[in-house]
Amino acid sequence: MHDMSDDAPLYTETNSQPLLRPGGVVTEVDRSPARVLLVGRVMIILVTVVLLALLGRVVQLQTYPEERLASKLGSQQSTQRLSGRRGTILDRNGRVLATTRIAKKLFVDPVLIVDYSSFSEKVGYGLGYDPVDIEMAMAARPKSRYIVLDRRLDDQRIELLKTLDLPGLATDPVMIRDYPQGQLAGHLIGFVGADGKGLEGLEKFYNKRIAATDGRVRYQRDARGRALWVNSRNYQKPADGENLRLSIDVVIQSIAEASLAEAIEKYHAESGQLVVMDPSTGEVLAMASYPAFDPATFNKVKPEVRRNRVVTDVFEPGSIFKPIIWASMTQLGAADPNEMIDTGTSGVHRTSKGRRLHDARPHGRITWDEVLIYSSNIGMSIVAERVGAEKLHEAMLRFGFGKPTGSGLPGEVGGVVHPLKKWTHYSVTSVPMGQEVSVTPLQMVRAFSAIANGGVLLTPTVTPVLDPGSELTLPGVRVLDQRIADYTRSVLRRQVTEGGGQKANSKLYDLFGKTGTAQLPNLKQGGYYQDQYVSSFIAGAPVDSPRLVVGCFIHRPDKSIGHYGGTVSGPAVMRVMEQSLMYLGVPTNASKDARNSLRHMAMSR
Amino acid sequence: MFAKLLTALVLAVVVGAAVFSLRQQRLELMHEITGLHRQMNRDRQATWDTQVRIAERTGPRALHESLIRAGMVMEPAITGNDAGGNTGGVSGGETGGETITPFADARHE
Repeated sequence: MHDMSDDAPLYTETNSQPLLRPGGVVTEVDRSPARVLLVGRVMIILVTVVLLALLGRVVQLQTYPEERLASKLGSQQSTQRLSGRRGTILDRNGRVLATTRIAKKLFVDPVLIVDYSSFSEKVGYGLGYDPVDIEMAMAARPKSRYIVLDRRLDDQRIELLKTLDLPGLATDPVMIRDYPQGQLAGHLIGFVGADGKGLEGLEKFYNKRIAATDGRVRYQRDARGRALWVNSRNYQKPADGENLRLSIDVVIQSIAEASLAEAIEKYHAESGQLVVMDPSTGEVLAMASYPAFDPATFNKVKPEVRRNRVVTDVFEPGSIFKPIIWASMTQLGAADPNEMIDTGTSGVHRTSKGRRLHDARPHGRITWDEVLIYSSNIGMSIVAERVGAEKLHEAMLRFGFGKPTGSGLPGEVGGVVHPLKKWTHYSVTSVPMGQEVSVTPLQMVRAFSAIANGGVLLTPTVTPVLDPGSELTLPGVRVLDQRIADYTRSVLRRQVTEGGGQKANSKLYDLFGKTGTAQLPNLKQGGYYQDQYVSSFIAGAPVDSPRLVVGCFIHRPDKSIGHYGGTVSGPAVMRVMEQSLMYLGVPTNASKDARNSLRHMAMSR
Repeated sequence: MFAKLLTALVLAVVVGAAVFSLRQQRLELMHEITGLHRQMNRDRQATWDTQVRIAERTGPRALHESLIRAGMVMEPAITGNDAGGNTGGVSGGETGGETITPFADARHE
C-alpha cells in the first residue's frame, strides 16, 4: 500500500517515464520542442490563410462585388446635381436686373391621398388655388407620384403651407430666373425658357457668356439615406455663369418708362419708345418700350408685345430727320446760315419737278436757321434741290442710316435707305422732310448724338464702355465738323425756345431738340393716313456741354387729344431730361446762376 | 519562440488598429466635409434669395412707394455746387450737394 501521509509527491515526472495520475491512470504526453514548433507553424498557416481569405473577400467586395451585393451597394450611393448659377445681369451701378435663385415648387402625390375631394378643398382654400383644378389634375393621373400644382410658390403661400400638414403635399426646390425690378427694361433684358436658356433679348444674346455649367456629386449614404461622405473622384464642381453689367441705369430707366407710359396714356396712343443715350460714349442709359411686360411672366403676353421695338421696328422719322440733313447741307455749303430762303406766303410750294409741298403755316422769307427752327418743309426742299440726290444719299449713309447700328442687340434691323437708282424725282425733296426713309429709334438717337457730341458718330452700346477712372478712347467716325455740329446745336436750341419744341422748354436745363409729326404711310393703298401719326421729339441737354440725348417716339396718338410731336412727346422728353440730369448731379441753370453770382460778388470784393 | 510570436501578433494588432483608426478618422472627416459642403450649398442658395429680396426692395419704384407710405415728400434741393463727374461715376443719392430725387416732380409749376 502506498503511504498517503508521506511528504513525497504522489507521482513522479521524468522526461521519459509515464506519469502516474491520481487514480493510478498512466498517460503519455510528448513535450518535445519539435512538436511545439510544428503545431505553432500549422496554427500560423491556418491564421494566415483565414486572414488572406478575408482580405481577398474585402478586395472582391471593393472591386467586383457579386451582382446581388452590387445592387445593394449601389442603392446606398446617390448622385446629386450641383446647379451652377446663371450669371446675374446688373445695371451700370451693380443693381440687379436679372438673377437666378432657388424657389419652391409645390407638388402632390396622389398615391398617398385617400379622399381627393377633401384634399383638394383643403389645399385649394388653404393656399388660394381652385380646388376643382387640383382634383381634376389628380384624377387625370392617379398613379403619378408627382403632379406639380405650382411651379413657383410665392412667399405668402410658403407661409400658408407651413400651417397645412397634409400627407401627399410637398415642395421641391427649383432654380428659377428672377427679375427683381419687375417689368423694368423687360424688352431689353429678355427672358429664359423653362430649361434656363435665353430665348429673347440680352438673355439670348449673351446666353453663352452667362450660362452656368452644372456639376455632379456622388455620395455614400447610410441606411437611412443620410449623406456619409463624398469621394473627391466623384465630385465635379459646378461653374457659375459670368455676370453681365449693362450701361443701363435703373433709375433713369425707371424715369423713362414712367414718363413714356404717362404720355401714351394721356394721348391714348398705341405704343411708344424712349431712348436715353450718353452722347459722349454712345452708352444707352435707358431703353423703354410701351406696352411693357414682365419677363418673369413672358408667356402671358403676345409675342409682338415682347419685341424690343427700339431696334426691331422702323418708322418714317418725319421732321426729326431735318437736323441731320440740315447740318449736312450746311457743311456742304449749300446754304449760308443767314441766307434768306423764300418759302412763300401761301405755305404751298411747287418744286422744280412739279411737286406740291406744304408748310404747317406760311413763313415767307426766312433765314436758313429759321428753316430748321420753324421746321419748314419748303425751305428744306429748296436747299436740298441745290445739293442733289447723290450727296443727300451719301449724308444719310454717313450718319449710319440703312444699316444696323452695331449695338449687337438681338433682332436689330438697319432701316430703309433706298439705293440711289431707286430714287424718284420726289426723293430729293422727300428725304429732307424725313420721308422715303425708315429708321429705328436707336438709329435716330445715335445720329442726333453726333450733333450733340461735336460731330462724331459713335456705336451705341448697352454695355459700359469704360470703368470709372479709366481713359476714354472710343472708336467713332467724324460725320460733321465740330463747328457745324456746335452751330446746329445752337439752332436747335432756338427750335425749343421759339419753334415747335416750346412745350419742352425746361427752366432747369437748356434743351436743344427737334419735334417731328410724321404721318403713317398707308401700306395697302399708298400715300399717308390723314389721322395717324408718329409724334416724336428728340433733344439733348445741356446745350453747352450735352450730357444726355433723349428721343421719344409715340405711335398713333388720339388726334382729338393731340398729335404734334412737341405736344405729345415734348413734355415726356423734358421730364426725363430734367429728372435724369438732376439724378446725375448736373447743375441746373439756377445753380449755375447762383454760382456765378457768388463768383461776381467775390471778385467785386 | 512563443514570445516572438506573441510580439509579432501584438504588433500586427496594434498596426491594424492604428490603420483602422486612421481610416475611421478619414471617413469621419469626409463625412464632416460632406456635411459642410452641403451646408455651404444651402447657404449659397439662401444668399441668392436674399440678394433678390434686397434688389426687389431697393428698386427705384419700391423705394418711391416706401417713401409715399412713410409720408415723406422729397423735393429737389438745388444748391450752387457743381457735382460734375461722369455718368458712370454717379450712383444716385446725394451728389455734390444736390439731393437727387428722381421721382419727385421736378417741373416748375
